[in-house]
Amino acid sequence: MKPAETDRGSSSMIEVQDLTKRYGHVVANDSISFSVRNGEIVGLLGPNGAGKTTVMRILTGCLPATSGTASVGGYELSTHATKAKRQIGYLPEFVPLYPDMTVTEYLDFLGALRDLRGRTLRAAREGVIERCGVGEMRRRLVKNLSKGYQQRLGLAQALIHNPAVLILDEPTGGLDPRQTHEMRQLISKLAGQHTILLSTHILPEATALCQRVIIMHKGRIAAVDEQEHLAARLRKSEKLTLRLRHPPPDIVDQLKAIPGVIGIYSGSDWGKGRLGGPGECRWIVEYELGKDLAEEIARRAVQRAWGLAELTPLSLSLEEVFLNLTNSDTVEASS
Amino acid sequence: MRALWIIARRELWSYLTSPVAYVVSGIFLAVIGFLFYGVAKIASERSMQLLQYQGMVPAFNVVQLVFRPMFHNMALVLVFVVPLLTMRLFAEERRQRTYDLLFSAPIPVISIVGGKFLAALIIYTGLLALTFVLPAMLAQYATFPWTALAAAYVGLWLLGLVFIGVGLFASALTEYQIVAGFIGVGILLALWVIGLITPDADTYGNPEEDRPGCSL
Repeated sequence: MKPAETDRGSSSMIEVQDLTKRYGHVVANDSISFSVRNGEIVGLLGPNGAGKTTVMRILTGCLPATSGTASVGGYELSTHATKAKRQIGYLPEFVPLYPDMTVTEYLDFLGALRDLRGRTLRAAREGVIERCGVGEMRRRLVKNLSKGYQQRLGLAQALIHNPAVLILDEPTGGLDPRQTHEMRQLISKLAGQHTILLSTHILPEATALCQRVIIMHKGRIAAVDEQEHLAARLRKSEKLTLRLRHPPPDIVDQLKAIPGVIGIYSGSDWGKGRLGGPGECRWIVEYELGKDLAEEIARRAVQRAWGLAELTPLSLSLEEVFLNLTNSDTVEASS
Repeated sequence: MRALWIIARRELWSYLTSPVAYVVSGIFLAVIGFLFYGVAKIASERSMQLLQYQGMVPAFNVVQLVFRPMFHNMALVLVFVVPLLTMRLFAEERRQRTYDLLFSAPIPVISIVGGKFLAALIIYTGLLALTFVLPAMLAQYATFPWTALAAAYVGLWLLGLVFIGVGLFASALTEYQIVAGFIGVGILLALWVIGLITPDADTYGNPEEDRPGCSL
């Protein structure tokens, strides 16, 4: 089954409409709508308990939705579950493993459940063993694998039937930094071949892997956008880093005199709002949105011989966007 | 159907590679062995008495004297044994969180349940078949109608289907195997007791009795 065949002419592979999931009185997902285009990598970002896993479990058919619809590859899960599930490879947050099986037995079992058999199954199994780098572990019992290998094996089972859509729930959860790096590389290699929806609460991961980010908070979607747009939309002011070799003693006042400047912070701890002293040579200049002050500052620095060493615009990192969105009432405003 | 068989095969594999099935079967066979020895001894003593008092070879009814008590008690032992065999089936799947794998696979739920049922049934049938060695031994020393014996086995096998069903249900209720085992034994024992407390229920059962329909 090639992913392209399952596309059925629609450009969105995952379509979620007004999806609500309640557990008794607890609302896990509140009227969520989003879609993922064919071939796209989308990150589902949010703090723990935001409802990411619930969305994923509904999309993979593990949970029924209370109301609303979810479809994968054009097939709705409530009515065409089997057809929809054929398109999905799912790596849950806790890698589901049968500890008493070897790596090859495990993959054979799961391949067989996904309609693979005989030679096709063996070829598919060898393919994912190769892609996920679990070759030297093939005869080991799953319970004896390290966490990193278990995670890879989890990814291998999600890939074995070459699904059009991959749903990865915190694929780097619990891995050490090196394993995390390897896992991310593995996932970025899959980009283009599969439509990927991955969840994470680690921001650099979303930055590194995803083209688009859906930020979830308390069961709702707080924001959906490409990362850069998201940052731009939430920015209330612009910032740039300024490094000077020969700053005059009254540098802070001189910078403040430039029209449009909101504040000057010393480079190291601008976040705490402390003013930069004359002894320091790195500042962050905050200025009004829409005014490009870089040129003006550069001109003055050259004219007055401040010894300009660096002048870099600072973009709001996803981390800040995330905190902005999940901290306060900006949730309503931006969604 | 294919998915059902794939699930059943995995479960069988799991039965045969884990010690639980062997330990449970071993204990079951030992208990049944003792039981058989007991009833056979009582039966032979009785026939000796008859021989002494009546001075003739009695009509030694093996079916009445040996098989009835043996199969009746075997059913009671199975009340404890079958839930031990089935307790793992869903509980472990939940504990290892592998049920997400099964539910996200493009297979109907009936093949997941059916596959597990089939695997347990195959193990159960094997267990029952092993007990056949006891009547086979008895056949060396006594004659009895094989059809009655076959009917007893069919009855016990059908009873096993019920036990496995109940055990599977209990296993689906919890993620702890032990709890699932206790729930299974509890339900079966309760159904068993319903049969016992009915006023005119005699130990070996009487088809004309008016027992509640749910007793075992």
